[in-house]
Amino acid sequence: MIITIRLFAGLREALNQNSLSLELAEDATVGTALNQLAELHPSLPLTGLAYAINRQYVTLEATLKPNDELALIPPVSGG
Amino acid sequence: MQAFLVTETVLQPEALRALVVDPGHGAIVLFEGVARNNFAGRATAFLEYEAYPEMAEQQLALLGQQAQAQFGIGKVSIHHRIGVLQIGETAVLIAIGSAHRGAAFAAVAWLMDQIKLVVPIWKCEHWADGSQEWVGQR
Repeated sequence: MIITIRLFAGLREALNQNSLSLELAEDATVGTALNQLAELHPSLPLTGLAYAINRQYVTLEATLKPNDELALIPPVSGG
Repeated sequence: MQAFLVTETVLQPEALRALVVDPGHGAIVLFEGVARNNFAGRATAFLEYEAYPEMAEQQLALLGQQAQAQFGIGKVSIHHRIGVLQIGETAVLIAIGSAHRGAAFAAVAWLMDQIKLVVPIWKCEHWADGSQEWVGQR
């Protein structure tokens, strides 16, 4: 299945793109997706992040479905 | 005018006030978070904010509902600016209508703390020396 990953702030700058597509096995979790992303882009700083699937915060164990939007959320600093 | 908004345009306090005013309420608290010329003492030239806008607006609305339930306030509106902000420009604007002032003051303080924890918005400090840095507080 294919999912979309959204990148923001330092992550977006590290890859010079704000989203990318990732092909994953069925029943992949957020953790699986991150491992795969780390293999593709070893320089990407993937520590200290929060995660959202389709705009809802989730944990690393959450399961992905086809066409989900997985956002990698660095420490926020609004306000 | 949306009550919970992430926008690149200049924030308008009067527009938010109009959204929360109520004849039965004796208090409106307006809070503005403003771009400051330093961060922990280091000189800032200007700020840049980035958001995950769809999720940020959803999170702001959720915080508004939680504040209403927790503090018994009336209407709430929160707008957050993104893009480049000069020093002195307003980054976040919160308006709360309430029967009495105490609940509104408590709610606005709580909302600002929550915004800094859970709303997917990021601030980039463009330092006076020309370098830049995404700051995060988690």
